[in-house]
Amino acid sequence: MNKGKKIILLIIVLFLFQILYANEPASIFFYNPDSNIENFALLVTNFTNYFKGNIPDFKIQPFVNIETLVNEALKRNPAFIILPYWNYLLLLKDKSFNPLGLEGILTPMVNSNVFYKKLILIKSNSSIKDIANLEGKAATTSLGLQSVDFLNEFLFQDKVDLKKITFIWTKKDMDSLLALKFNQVQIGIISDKTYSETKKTQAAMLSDIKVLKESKEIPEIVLIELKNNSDAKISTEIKKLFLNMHNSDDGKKILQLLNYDKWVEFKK
Amino acid sequence: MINGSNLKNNAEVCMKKNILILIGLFCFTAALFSAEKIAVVKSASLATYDVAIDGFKESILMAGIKNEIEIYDMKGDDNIAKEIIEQIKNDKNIKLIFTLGARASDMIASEIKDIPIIFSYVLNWKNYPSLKQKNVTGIEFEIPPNITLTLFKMLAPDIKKIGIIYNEKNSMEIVKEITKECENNNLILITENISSPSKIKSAFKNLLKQNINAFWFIADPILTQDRKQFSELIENCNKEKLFTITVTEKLVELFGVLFAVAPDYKTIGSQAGSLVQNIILNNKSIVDLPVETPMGTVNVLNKKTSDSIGLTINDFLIRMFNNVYE
Repeated sequence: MNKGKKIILLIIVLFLFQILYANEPASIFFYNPDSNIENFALLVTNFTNYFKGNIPDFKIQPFVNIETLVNEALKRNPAFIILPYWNYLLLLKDKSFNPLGLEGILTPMVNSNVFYKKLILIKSNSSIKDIANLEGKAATTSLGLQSVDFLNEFLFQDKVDLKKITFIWTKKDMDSLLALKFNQVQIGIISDKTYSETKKTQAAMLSDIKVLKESKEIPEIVLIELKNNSDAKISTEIKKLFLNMHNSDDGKKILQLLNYDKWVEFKK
Repeated sequence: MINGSNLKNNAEVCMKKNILILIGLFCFTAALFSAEKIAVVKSASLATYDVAIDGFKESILMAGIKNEIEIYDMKGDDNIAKEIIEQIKNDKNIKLIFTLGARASDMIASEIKDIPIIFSYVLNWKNYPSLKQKNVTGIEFEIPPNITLTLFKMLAPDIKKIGIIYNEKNSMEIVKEITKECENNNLILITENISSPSKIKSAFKNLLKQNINAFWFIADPILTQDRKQFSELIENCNKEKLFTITVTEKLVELFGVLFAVAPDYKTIGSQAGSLVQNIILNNKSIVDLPVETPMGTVNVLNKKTSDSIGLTINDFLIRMFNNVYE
């Protein structure tokens, strides 16, 4: 092989390496099983409409499970990830993510609050009187894998052996609510936001359902920056756009879909 | 001569032997336990089955069930299916079978009577005598009418009279169920029983005469046999500004039906996993585990149709949809 061919080959290899291992400084990976959002296409459209004008390479990629997000994040190096607080804590403990400089920077607010709660719902005529009675029963919840520890930490607090509850994992709170309503399960676990919205707009749905227990306050989702994948200029712009989201019509569409009022600084 | 040192050596040897025996016994028991398998049998190589299998595996993992899962694919071929059935029959470590699709469910249940079977993805499962056996339970594939009606009423609270066209040989049972649920919800159901697709037009005219304001496309082959008649029926529903509902996403995407409620595949897998948990961990007999209805839904909306009939959808409801076709 002559010298010229070798140089061309080297350039191709470097180019492929660049493609394979390039960072994505304008990408956000999104995962939130608690959001009640099923319509990912609409989520992507709303985000793109708002960000694209200021950040031409902007991309948002929603994920239906955390494992895929983690695998893809390690391969594609996005600069931002939006995750539930619980998953953020787990990522902080994950050795593969340590070198990426993970840092929670923003969190959303609803009614001036950066927390929400999970509720254990039962039928009004249920024989269940206390969470200790939940063993041996079937429950639906919209949370995904890893959520057993989460539920224990915030909701059950070691008062129930969660292995003795049969969990059925649904994609959205409404499914959990309907399964309880129509006696497919004895327990429904949903967020306080879904509960209060249902009470406001579909009161009849809750006519024979009551709250057995409220969880501790759970921090809302976190916008996480992966410092080692990011570009300072783009990151500053993205952060600014998040903080100003409630001031524009396109931004408000995202907030309405996510059911938040605005984004604020994340306090550790 | 027996001295203290010999005694100590003997005791040590004895103890070592006992420890080895105990380790051996432990390994033997562990091997026996871990050898127990769950067979997952797909009727064909469909991506939708794989979604349910993911949900199934996740559910099993979270419940702490350690059994090995072995996946078999019938690839839509009866000869392969027969080979798989033989393999399962000869594998004494298979303690439970999860089947996906009518072919796998019916063929396995017809041949295997001594292993618990959990079926899924079977339309009208009651039509299969094999699935009514004592060693069989499962998850229905049809969303129960009460769930569909509840979601439909959330979306279109003004519906009062719903029309249905059906053939009694195909859909008598489901129409009876819908009638009951409509009564429970103070809705009037008007039905037209037809014997051939050529009667669709006149049946629809009869429904209009009775002032229906919604139309429910049930999964009856009489409606879909003649594609032209079927398309015209949907067009006429939209022309008359009726609220329309179906069980298939494609009808919303391609034909402009307003709203579809279909089962969520991952939740089907999770439900199957919870049945396994009840059988393996909670020692429940399969006889005590009745066939379940799907607990997860996929909701799809055609926005163009909703705009054309003047339907306003709030943010809360918009978040409920998996897909909105513009």
